[in-house]
Amino acid sequence: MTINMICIYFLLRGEVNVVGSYVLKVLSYGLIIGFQHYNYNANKAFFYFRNAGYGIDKLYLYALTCDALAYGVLLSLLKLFKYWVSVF
Amino acid sequence: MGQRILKTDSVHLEFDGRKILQDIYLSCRQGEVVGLLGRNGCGKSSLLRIIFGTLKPSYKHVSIDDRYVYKGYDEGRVAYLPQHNYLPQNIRIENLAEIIIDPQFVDGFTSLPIYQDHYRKKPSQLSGGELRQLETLMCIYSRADFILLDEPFTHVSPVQAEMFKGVIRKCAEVKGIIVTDHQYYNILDVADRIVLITDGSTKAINNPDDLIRYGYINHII
Repeated sequence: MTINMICIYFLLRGEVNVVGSYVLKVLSYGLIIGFQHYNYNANKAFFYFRNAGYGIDKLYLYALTCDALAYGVLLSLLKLFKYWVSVF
Repeated sequence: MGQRILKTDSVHLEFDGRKILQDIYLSCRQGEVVGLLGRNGCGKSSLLRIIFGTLKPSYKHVSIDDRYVYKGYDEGRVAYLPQHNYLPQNIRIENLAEIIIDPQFVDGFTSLPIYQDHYRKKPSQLSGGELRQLETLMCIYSRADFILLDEPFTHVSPVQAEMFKGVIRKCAEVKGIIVTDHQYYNILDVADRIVLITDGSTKAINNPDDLIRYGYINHII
């Protein structure tokens, strides 16, 4: 959510376009995965999810896909809101 | 459905050119407890991690009902109690339990004092001993068909060890359990069958005197 807010902030200021904001998000995903992969404590908690029957790759895939979709919806609503404000 | 059988065969594992495991055969059927013994560094934990799927050896053949298993944890077939803490620290225990506990054992698990006392807390709020007890019980009561327990009796009081053994026996009525620990008397007590890892290979132990013969212990306590 923090990353979404940062991306939207730069987008609204006009410093990046939509494609640029998605590139920023993909880079942040890489940072998150990298941090969790090399962070010993984060790595230990993976065993809980594996014991519950969830593969870590699938967890990342689902979580990041949901995040990217949520970001898209949030972005569309903001664009729509800005358009309505400019019309009315 | 009949009893499933987990088989591990032809494992080859080496670190820095040193052969750790080379002639391994280990099987476990649902309904039995297999005790795994061996000296420090002989590869017990590595073997469990290979079965679970978090350690990749040069070669392995792990199967359940003769179907090759790439990673034991896929589809929740195998659960593993590591030696370190594994619960996420900032999720409430009742929420963690809801996902992992086998529905047929929910009543048994939720009636345990350790759960009753702390289910609204987060793991980060528990003491080291309480957390280890909870993690061990969550693993034993998990949904998996096969449970791998790496040193469940270490750092645990004798009363708790007795309680764990009762839970292991209860769950082993429907699950296959492989348990390893240096407290060999607890393993001898709880296991239906004992396997010793020595010189990188597995040896079946038919009576406690075999442990002396293979040099694992000097005398039986």
